[in-house]
Amino acid sequence: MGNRMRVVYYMNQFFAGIGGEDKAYEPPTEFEGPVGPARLFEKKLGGKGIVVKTVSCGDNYFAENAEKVKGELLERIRSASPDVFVAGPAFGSGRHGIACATITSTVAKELKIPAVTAMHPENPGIDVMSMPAYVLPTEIMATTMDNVLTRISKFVLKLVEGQAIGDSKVEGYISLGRRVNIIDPLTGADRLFPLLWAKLKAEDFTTEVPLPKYEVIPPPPAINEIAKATIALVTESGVVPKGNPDGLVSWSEERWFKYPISHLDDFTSTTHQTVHGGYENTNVNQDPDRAVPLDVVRALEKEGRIGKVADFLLTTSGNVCTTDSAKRMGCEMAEYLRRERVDGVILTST
Amino acid sequence: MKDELMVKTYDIDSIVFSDRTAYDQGVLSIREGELKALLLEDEDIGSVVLGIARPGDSARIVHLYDVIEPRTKVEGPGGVFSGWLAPPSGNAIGTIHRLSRAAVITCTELSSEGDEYTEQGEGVVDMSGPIAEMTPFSQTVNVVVEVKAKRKLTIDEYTKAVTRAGLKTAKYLADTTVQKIPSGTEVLPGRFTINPDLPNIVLILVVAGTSPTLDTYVYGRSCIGMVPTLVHPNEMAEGALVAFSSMASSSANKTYYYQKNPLIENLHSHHGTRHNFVGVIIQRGYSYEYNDKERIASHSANLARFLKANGAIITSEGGGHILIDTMLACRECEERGIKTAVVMIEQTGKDGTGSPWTDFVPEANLVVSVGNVDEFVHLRPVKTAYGGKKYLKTEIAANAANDVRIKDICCVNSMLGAARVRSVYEDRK
Repeated sequence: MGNRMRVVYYMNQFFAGIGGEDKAYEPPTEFEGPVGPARLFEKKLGGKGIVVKTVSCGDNYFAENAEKVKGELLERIRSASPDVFVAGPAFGSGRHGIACATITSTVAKELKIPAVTAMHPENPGIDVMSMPAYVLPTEIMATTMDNVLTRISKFVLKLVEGQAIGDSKVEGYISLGRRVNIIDPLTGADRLFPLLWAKLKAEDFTTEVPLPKYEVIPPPPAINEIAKATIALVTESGVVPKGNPDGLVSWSEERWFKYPISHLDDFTSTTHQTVHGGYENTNVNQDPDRAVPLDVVRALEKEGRIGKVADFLLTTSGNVCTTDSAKRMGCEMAEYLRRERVDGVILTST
Repeated sequence: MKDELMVKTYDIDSIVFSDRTAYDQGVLSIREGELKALLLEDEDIGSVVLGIARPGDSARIVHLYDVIEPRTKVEGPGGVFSGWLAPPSGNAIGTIHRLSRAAVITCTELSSEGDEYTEQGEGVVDMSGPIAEMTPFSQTVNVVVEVKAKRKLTIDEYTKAVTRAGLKTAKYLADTTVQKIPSGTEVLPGRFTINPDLPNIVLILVVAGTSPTLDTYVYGRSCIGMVPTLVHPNEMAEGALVAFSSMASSSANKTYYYQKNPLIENLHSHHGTRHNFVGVIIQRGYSYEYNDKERIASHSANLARFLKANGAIITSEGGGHILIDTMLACRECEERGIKTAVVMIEQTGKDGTGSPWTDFVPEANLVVSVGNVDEFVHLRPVKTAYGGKKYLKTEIAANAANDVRIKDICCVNSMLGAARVRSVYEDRK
């Protein structure tokens, strides 16, 4: 590569100087050359690279249109012929983190160039990071921007020079803890017994699957005046309009969809169906209210027991959905529900 | 009659179609027309296609429904597969015969009346190549029985018809060994002698019980609604448990592994030397309410305590909320001072970077991994496909190349510990 490497850099609307929360719905856009933190980042490359383009998107727009934004940004990035991609740093900001992780992972996979982002280790964006992209750890607050950009620039140069990247603790990146399947010489049944005998004798043993860490999410306070509340229907039961217009899949789904229901008093076998592959579908196809109780909440609405049923159904197929996909979808749905000023949710699962 | 079960093993070196059905020094011949006629006696079955898939063949089996080891009872009360081919009053004493290194594999494309296509997961076995390394049934000579219903059946009728066909074939093949000389004999005791200096270990099998496509039959009856119960391993050897699993082929249990259970084999072989094997508990998984899950799990643990278990091996099958049943059984046992080893799949996503389970308990500090079910594997083109012409719900020919999730490959993620696939951390290079 002799010449200076070409960098394309992503950041949200705030860091790009477009605006704050008021501009979180801005669609994807781009600037020639470096903008915001990309300027300082370019300096840190010490002449070895230039930021040829900065791309940006509003955090909320990204969250609600992820598939579309991914595609659009990818094209904008690809058209600049980058050698390297950088995003963020997102620090503790969840939406920015998810956006950075999403676009960085996409670029790494599709353009096959080094792609690096950075955020706090507990940023929900970590859960949507995927190989072969890298993510470096940061503090929660953006006060350490200078230090972070120095670390990203050093890491990027290493990648571009083809240096082998070693252990995460040594190299300063966040290990994604990737699990891979191997074929062991022994069967699971044969491996089990020495481990159990050791445990029974109170000797040391090493489990084959370390326990994951889940955060405890405290429930919000109860709804004060339920008769004034807007209640939304959300489901993982796979209920969709008849014909499944968006092609919701029956397992391992990673997307969710919203469908209007304000014109309906209930779901019927002519208007809706399910596609979930984890339960026998006949009963729900006969009457989808069995999986999503629109008929009941409409009755409550008419009686004045609740204020209003939200205008839409949020749906996905939760069958064999990974924890990380489910968490990300939940975050995205929650963002949407909050903006629609929904007070409470009836979430049905199967 | 002594309280023991004698098991006579007949090795299979090869299986061929011939003009008569017979076993002769390792060679099993099958008169195709005779076996077909037997299966077509069943008024629910419309057509039967037989095939033989041998280890090393460039061959693939698709639409796999169940795998059964050929066994028959030659001496003693009742017969194999109580509730199906014999009265439901299993009494596992006497003598049974088994064919080793052989299996009956039933295949079908399920559908149910009313034109509602029932979700059926693909089930694949490759007889050679990289996928054969993972699936245990690449090592058995397989008699493939592809079954079609005669008319529209309910999903309950259909799965039972295919089950009957498989069990009948298994007995029909084993019946060829009557009065022949076995290659090996084992006597399985009815009563266990307990060595008080050794720890007592119980096996808790959490089994599927939710619908005709994901169920377990105990003495010919679905386990849905069943409270946890005890069985003796000899009862299982005789076929007391029959699998009904048309989903999650890699992690669902097959009848073969109830008859020939790898954990029970290990429990037997070290009984009296490293531990005492004190029994098998069957716990129905997939109950619908959390109260039921707690009730069932603690009942299971109470049975383990009643057996004076010091340790419990807890298995599962399938995926989804049965894993909650399994984890609860772990918690309840540990709370009663019974140390557990859990056998569990991981669902870390296609990249392997996700969290392994949707739910778990902090007490599950000893888990044997049987692999990530979300990984993709590549199926290469093969010469012959048995069991069906196309991969389920696709237009791709069954003998053509395809990329599928590992969960379609039969038993590779077996939570009975039957296979060798597991997950480990990969350090980034």
